Amino acid sequence: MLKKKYVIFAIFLIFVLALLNYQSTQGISPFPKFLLYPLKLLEQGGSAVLRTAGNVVNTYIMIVGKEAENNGLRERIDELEKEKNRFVEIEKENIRLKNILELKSKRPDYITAAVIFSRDPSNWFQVFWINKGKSSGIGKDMVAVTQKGPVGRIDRILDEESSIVLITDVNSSVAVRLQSSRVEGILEGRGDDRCTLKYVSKEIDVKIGEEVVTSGMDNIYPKGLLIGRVTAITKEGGELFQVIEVDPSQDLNVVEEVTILKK
Amino acid sequence: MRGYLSYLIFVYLVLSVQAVVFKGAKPDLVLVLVCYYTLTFGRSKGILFGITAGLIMDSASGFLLGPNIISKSLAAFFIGSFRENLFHWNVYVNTLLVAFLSIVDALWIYVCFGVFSDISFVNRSWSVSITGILFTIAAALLAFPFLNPQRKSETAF
Repeated sequence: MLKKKYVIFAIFLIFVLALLNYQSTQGISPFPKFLLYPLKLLEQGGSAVLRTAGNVVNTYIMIVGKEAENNGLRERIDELEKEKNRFVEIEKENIRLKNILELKSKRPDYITAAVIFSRDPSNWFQVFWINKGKSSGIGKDMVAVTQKGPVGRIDRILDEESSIVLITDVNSSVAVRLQSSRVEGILEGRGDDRCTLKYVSKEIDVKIGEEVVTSGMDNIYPKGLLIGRVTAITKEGGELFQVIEVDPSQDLNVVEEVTILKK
Repeated sequence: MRGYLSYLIFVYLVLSVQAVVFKGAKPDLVLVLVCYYTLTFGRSKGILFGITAGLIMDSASGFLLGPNIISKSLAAFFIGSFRENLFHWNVYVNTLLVAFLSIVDALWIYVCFGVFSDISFVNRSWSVSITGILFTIAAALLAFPFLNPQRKSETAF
């Protein structure tokens, strides 16, 4: 009986390997969209629950141990505090939206603005999911940017959602140029929060802190966007090129909204 | 069946935690969950749970369908087999096995994407993988006293 189970399991593994082989020749299987919804709901619900719990705890701390005659005043202060927090949030949102509007007016290749609702749960990919898709005019390889620089390019597109492969992902390559020396190279993601600039000759004098901008040679990213700054340079003996570490122009972990630009 | 479904909901929950809470290197909480499910309910049920959890993980990532199905079901198979042949299961054995399975899992995903897709992890920083494995070991250590799989597992094997 146990041996039969082993045989079934082995056959199943062979089937999955065949499926993998099929995907490698025929392309990746259709994406089961429904699997995204729980992630979306949990992220939105989780934030709401955390906000409410925070408010409840704050309110409790504010009230406990106070004199009865001060309760009214304390409650009023509490309300004002909440109101203040709300205004701070609105103000921050307002700044972000203004930045998006500014980008919209500046860029003729503007498509839409979108909110990030989820990040890839695995340890392997640096991917964001946004709340706009095919129905908003988004297409493959369009570019996601913020006021501070590029975030990544569109990879998967559903009707109402899309995924963005970040510039720090190992599958990302961006044609770039060092701003002062005008030398071109390829910026590749490392899988963490940094990138590596490759194919820059060892003869070129690169300085720490030098700005790196998109060159537009890849026909994906628009020319002239600030993408990061040089943080470290390695020149190894037998190599033709130097390896340059680049810190992205913005912390991609705190990006909340992006603007999508035409390819 | 109800237990199985509630564990599957838990898979969604840990995937959300991984996506929302961790920025950069992430632990493989699903692997920890598969290990505990196998220790609690036995090898056969563990393999079935590993297959489903792997399917959810692969689908949530949206790239290749299969690498996590194989790695999580094999993790359940190995941990089930080890459990059957070990007289006393303790926190050290558990941690060592989770560490071993995390490394095998990382290597398998690395090879799988290299062979079956045009995605390559050659440029990937090793520190991310190592930190991820350390996080997974830490998660297994933290979860062990709370879940205590040995308590329920006596009847399963």
